[in-house]
Amino acid sequence: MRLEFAKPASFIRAHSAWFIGALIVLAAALPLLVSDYWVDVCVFWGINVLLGLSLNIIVGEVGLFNMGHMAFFAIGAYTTAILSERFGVNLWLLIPVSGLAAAGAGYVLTGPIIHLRGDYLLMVTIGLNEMIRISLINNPFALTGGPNGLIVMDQFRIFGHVIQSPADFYYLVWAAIALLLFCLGRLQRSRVGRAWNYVREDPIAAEATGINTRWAKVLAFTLGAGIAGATGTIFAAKMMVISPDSFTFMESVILFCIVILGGMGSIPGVILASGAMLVLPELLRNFAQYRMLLFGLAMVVMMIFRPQGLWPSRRWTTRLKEGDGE
Amino acid sequence: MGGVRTGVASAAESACAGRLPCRVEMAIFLEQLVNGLTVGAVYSLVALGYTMVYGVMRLINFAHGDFFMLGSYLGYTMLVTVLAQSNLPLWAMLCVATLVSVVAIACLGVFVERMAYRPLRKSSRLTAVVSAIGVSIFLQNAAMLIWGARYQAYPPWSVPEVSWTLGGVNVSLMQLLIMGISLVLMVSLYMFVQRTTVGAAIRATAIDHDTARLMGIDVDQIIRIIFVIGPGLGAIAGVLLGLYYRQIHFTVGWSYGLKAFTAAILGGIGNIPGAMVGGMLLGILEMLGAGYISAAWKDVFVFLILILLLIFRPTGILGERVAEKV
Amino acid sequence: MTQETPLLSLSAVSRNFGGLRAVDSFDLSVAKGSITSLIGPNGAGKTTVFNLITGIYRPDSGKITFSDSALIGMLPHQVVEAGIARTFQTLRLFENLTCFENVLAGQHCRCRAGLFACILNTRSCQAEEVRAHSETERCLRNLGIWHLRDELARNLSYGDRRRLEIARAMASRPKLLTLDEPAGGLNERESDELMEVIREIRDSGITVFLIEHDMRVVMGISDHVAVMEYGRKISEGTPDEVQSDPAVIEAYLGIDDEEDERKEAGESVQ
Repeated sequence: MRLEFAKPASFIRAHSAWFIGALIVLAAALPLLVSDYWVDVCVFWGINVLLGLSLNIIVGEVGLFNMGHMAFFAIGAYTTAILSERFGVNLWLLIPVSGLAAAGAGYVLTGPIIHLRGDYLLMVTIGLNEMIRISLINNPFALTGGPNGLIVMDQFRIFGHVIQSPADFYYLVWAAIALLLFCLGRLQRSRVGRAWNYVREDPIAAEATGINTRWAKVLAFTLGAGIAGATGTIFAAKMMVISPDSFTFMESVILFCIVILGGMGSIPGVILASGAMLVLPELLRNFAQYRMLLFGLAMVVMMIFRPQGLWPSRRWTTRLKEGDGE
Repeated sequence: MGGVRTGVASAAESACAGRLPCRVEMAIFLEQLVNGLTVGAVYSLVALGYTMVYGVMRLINFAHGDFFMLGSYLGYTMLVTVLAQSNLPLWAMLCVATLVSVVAIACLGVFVERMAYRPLRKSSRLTAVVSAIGVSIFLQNAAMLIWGARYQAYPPWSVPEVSWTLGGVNVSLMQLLIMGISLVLMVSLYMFVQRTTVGAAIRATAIDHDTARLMGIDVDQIIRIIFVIGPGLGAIAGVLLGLYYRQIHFTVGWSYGLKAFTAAILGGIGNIPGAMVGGMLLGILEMLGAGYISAAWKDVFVFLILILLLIFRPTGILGERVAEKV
Repeated sequence: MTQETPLLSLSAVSRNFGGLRAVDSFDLSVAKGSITSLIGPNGAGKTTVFNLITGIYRPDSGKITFSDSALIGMLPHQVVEAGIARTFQTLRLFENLTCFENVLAGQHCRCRAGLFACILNTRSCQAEEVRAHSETERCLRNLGIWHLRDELARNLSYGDRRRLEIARAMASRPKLLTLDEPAGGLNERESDELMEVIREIRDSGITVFLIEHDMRVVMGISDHVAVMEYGRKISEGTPDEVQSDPAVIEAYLGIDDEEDERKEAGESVQ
């Protein structure tokens, strides 16, 4: 007898192939349909989705309160800028290199603090975020360019084509998201993904059931940091100038809230929430100055009336492959 | 963060670089100590709000720093509008400004608790924390819309410019006022919590809400009292800080809030004397770090101490052991 | 006392909490293939003994040996991997996960797939998953909760939650199953069923070690009983021997607020 896992049935799920196909076609055609301005908005949305998904591994899947995620994004972006400008390293190569640098930092920095209780961990990650941002401003060894940051002149090239237009970046970012979604989907229903959820539900029971909780937590932190670092390379190439202002504690908090508002551990939730955060304000330009005010209010209202998030994640249930053998 | 006092800090730095007579070095040390105690007193007052809310509700009240910031702005507005027209003596103006600010912020505190925290008292801690972040973002942006994104300055005439030189150390009236007022407030709060019936009820509620309720304590009332005292103390700290540094900005809520929360953890969160000790210690460490190590790196220094403390003594200096029960 | 080789043995194990001597040079051996019970009044240190065995606490002194290897210094998950599974006195389930996923957790330590194997979904990873699923199914069926596999744990009735926790422990294929008050909160019919389940587990070759308050359950299924009071072992033997030991009767009669236990202990004397 072989078991197969499935999410609970719904209309969308029953016709998922059609929906996904239509979404892919629509997404691929988007740059032809809307102005460059909107394509750019979608690029930044995509970068936030990548960051949100990476943080979702830590906050959503394992339940570790990380409010300093921008630190790892910053490490990735600065690694890219420094290696690219000083040593002329190819940008494609820098995606994994920056990812590894940030993952390494995540591994080393979180090792000693990973056992801390929720609130304390939150405080320490905020502290790490601030320490790294202040270090970048202080320009140690004249590496980081101080408050003005660094310039990245190099560009991604693919078969002689230079990735520079908004549409080029749009395809690059959303292709990266597609790849990440595939990997995360696999992880969610694997031994590793389940271990993360057990730790989130009850770390003591997880440990007593034979799960190495420390391994699960450190793995999630390292992986999340690594993905954020790799995203930093794309961000640096897109922005061409990076400065400490992009990596403040406030940005980390907003990213954290995106994950919670989307629904902890929910991939569509992260995409939806970061879209709401980036695209909606563009639609409501007249209210631009009230954007954050409304965001704050929305967070309170959401927590009171819909604490599970916009699109809560649902559990995988079993389905018997060969008939239902009750 | 702040950075207004760096003048003093860099003076100390250059003094250390050149070899100065022992007495001068001692004077610089004492001056940094006084500066540290002054800032520390402000941290302590703000930290008390964090620690009391955490003690009773197990909630990191992210909005507390913003109560402090709004208190500072309200004091400023009172001084430059209504009171500037009056012909009250300066001390009376300052008292009125502080009083109005305290009453308004205490009301705001109670209102926020009622609207944003009480509906979430039974839900997970994370939900309440996110709601608190929402309140914080809301208040911060409201302040920005009301008072503008630029620095506002307390009028020069509002600050009593009196100072003395005691044994080569320059001490201003404002510094003495801040330390004196903080000390009186903290001691009376401690007495209130330790010696009165209401104080006993607060302590009981901090241990267990349900048991306290069974003993006939109105837990809602206790939490309301906490949200009068905490934000009220924050507002006083806000006015004092405004008078000390003159300049105020809508982001001081987060920068000082983060320091104050660090102070609360340093002393042992939930512990009232701990918040006082933690605040003072943090202020002194920060100013000595600024004077003898580097002003630019002082915040890195502060967070490093926080992280090391949490790793080696996660309960803070005065905190009790809180074992996770199996 | 027992002629068989002990699967688990504690010798002179002590543990202090502050000034309190929770466990005081405690000796115990659990024979292979037996059902051994540890009883004693509230606060006698029974759960502490459990936590010492399962690696949550570390003893201040003494030795704990499990099938010829030392357990002390192992982390809780390593103890599970070595072959000791446990349940909790206050149930600790993964409330928001399905029963199937809850039980699958037990198989975690018997699988090896790492991050990259999971992303690449390698052949060995797939094979491992199939094995883990069939093992999970077996445990759910043995405990009679297979039909609840897709329910979230938090929606289960109390009796089913107890079963689910045992199923989860069984899924790690333990040599020794340790149960912390498995009959707590169960009614008579449910505890009868539980006794049947425990016997079946023993008959399948797994040694069972339990803490229990319900004397009917303890005396009904145990091969061997140890009695604890104030951190010390005061008596040990077959259920009959223990029930007639004056030290045990005194320990139980000495407690005024434990009405039930007094009654039960009293009954067993007559």
